[in-house]
Amino acid sequence: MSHTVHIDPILLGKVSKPARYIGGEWNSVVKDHQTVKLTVAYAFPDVYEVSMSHLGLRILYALLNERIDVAAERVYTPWPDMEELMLDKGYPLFSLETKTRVCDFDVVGFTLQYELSFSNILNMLYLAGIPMLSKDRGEDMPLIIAGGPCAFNAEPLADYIDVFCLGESEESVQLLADTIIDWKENGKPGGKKGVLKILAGQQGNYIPAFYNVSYDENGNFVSLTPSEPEAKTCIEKCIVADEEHVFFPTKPIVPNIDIVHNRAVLELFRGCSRGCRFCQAGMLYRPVREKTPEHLLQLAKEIIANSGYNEISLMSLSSADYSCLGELVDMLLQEFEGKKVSVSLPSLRVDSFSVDIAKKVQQVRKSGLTFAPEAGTQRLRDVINKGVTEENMLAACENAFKNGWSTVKLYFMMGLPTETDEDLAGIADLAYKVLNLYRKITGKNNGRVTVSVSSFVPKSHTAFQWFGQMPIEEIRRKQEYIKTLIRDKHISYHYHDAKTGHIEAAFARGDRRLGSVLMEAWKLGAKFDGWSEFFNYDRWLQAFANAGVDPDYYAARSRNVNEALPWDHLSNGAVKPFLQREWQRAAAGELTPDCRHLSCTGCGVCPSLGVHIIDNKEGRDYEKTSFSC
Amino acid sequence: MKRLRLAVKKEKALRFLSHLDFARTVRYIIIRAGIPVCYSEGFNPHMKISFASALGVGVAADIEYMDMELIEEIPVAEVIRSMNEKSSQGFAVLKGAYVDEKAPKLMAMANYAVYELSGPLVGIMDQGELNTLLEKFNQSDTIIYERFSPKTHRKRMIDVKEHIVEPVTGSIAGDTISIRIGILQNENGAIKPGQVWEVLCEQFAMAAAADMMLARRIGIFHRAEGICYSLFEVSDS
Repeated sequence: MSHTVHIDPILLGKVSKPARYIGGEWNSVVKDHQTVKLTVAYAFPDVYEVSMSHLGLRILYALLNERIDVAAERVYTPWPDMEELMLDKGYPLFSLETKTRVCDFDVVGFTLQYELSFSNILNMLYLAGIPMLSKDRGEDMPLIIAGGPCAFNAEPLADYIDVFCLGESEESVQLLADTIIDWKENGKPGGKKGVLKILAGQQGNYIPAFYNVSYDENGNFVSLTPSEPEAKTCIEKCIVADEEHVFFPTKPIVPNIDIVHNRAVLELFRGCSRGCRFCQAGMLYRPVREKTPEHLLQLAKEIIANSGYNEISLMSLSSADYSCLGELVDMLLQEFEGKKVSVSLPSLRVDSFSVDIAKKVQQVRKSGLTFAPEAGTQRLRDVINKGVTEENMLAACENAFKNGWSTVKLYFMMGLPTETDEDLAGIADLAYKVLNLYRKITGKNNGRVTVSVSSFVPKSHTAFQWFGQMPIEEIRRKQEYIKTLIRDKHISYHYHDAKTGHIEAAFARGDRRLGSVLMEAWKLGAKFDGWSEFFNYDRWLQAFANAGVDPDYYAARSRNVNEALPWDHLSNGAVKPFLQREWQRAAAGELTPDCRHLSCTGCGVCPSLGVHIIDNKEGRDYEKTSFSC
Repeated sequence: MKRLRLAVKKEKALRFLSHLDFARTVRYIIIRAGIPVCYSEGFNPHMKISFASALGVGVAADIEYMDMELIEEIPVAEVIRSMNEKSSQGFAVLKGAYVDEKAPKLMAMANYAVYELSGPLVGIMDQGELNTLLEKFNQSDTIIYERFSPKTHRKRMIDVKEHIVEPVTGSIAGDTISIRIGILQNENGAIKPGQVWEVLCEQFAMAAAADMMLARRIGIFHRAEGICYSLFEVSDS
């Protein structure tokens, strides 16, 4: 029996942006729960404006709602003022579509985008009246399922989540829904554990309760051992082989209030095989699989007609790498000419070609261009395998300045492996070179260069997963050092607080012991930790101390390449020797080419998952995998 | 270029939108409906639509007016049908008429709005007691509402009676008090419905909480010499 929550509209009128909690948006789907066999609440652990901007949940929401036997609804984290009202008046967390209590759904599905959103997951469970720990949840409580990039290092959340779904879910979610419906219709044989056992046998599903963890006498992680026969020793991610024909929603929900990315979104391709050694997304979503420009044009037409949006953003991990980008942009501009629909590219590659594309899409307004050289010297760029040269950079800027742009943003990281002060000085040098280039080309002194430097957080499943993060003091020193080198009022320099990166790093490579840290932090009031106004470093240090866990054991410790890692059982299809080889090549400053254009680099993803690269220019569905790894 | 005036409503999911969010939502509806609307020239073209008022967050409206400039004249019924088909929950076009291109702006004409305010009864009050206090309110020559602006740090005095020119009526049903007021906008501006509710609670001992009220606008007019005209009528003159 499901209950709906009625919030007194007078009280709702008192919180900030009440429309966050109302639903009723165009293209949102409202179904009568009596008419469906499965109800799913898709949960994003952040506020409405951030959550609604996420493409992944929108895809799954639309996909499941295509089925007449499933109702998929949304729930996001209430802002603290709304949380206070809910706690004060006893309103439990409810879904946007039917205002059903979240605890009455069959499944609650969280997306894990960012380690610092974990505290909001606990808080949302609490507000829903759902026991936070899996072991405390009875048969009447929903199955708590989670996916997204952070599911690849699931261990810090192992005590809280029933099922982690690894990889791309467009196809596997159908089996998941069928399995749960079957189980329900057969009278839930074996209870929750019964369905978890079936799910454990399906690709991509990790049921953390079915494993025992062991540590050695020094407290180092040794292994996870299956405790149930259905549990696999290695869980391989799900992947969509046929990107061209996979479901993509053409009726996007159009929010009534402004959100972070309030525009139509077209996904050009999955994956990126440039092989930047710091990048987790590049490793998790291999290989590259493109859609055809013809199909994308058709999708774009439908999305614009169904939404009323006047801007369409071309999304992918690295959109400028889409093999038919020029053609696609021409097709879109032609289609939308005179219709006041603009095309935007969220990220540019560091080269002149990208600026040509930017020229096409930004024909009137010359807002700033953003490039990410990531490191200040060629040596360090080679270490991280960012195949970009200073010549690429300056050619891109020259093209931009000659075509009327005057503002360039440059993104860098600090705290990278092998980094020296010389590399940091290179950041300032590059900024000066770009600014001087502007002066030389335009003869004017009104150019602006913005330098933004974030601190590096080593992530699992990357070549840098063994690297110890630099201490906060060292990051601060480096930040100050760069500051001393930038002395021109036309260059502005931004950097981020190193403290959030420290906590993020501990969770990004944590094991199950981080679960109790998370609980302690929640008890101390942690929420919205991705928001600087709510993140409290001292509170986190206190939580680590209360749980008896040292954050630097996870964040700062350099790991032995042969030691067992708490995410070794969660596979993106890549083999460990590939990452070890990449780690060695990084130390030697050797570049590894992009396999979509040159030879196979032997990561192992294609053969182990039975997929291959789809590149419209290189030849569709071409086979180039070598098995010599 | 043709100027089309529409009577629309704002309620349900849209009630809690700010004016800017409401305007954006209406723009999306117009695009989805495929209405051939005009855009301004320049680097950042914007859709040529305008509203009679800026409804605040939480204020529903049984009726609001908007003008839009169309590239070509298309039948009003066609506009209404296609917009309603593509409307978000809480929006609807009720009526429409082409008006003279040179007709005065809606914002300049709309100067009288009628609201129904309602909130929970706090304590005990019957219809007779409510009538008595409203009578006292209606009989007063001046009622001063003092407003402290946190922005300018200045006190502003508003004479409520300058803006409330018709008698206020009210009723009690169950545990809800409802008040009907008309607010006139003059050269000094206007008073907000919530401020009138506050005055009734604090200066006239109405049995409700000053901050517990929802407003619904039931009409908006052009008022001249004591007579209210529909904003469709005004455009003809």
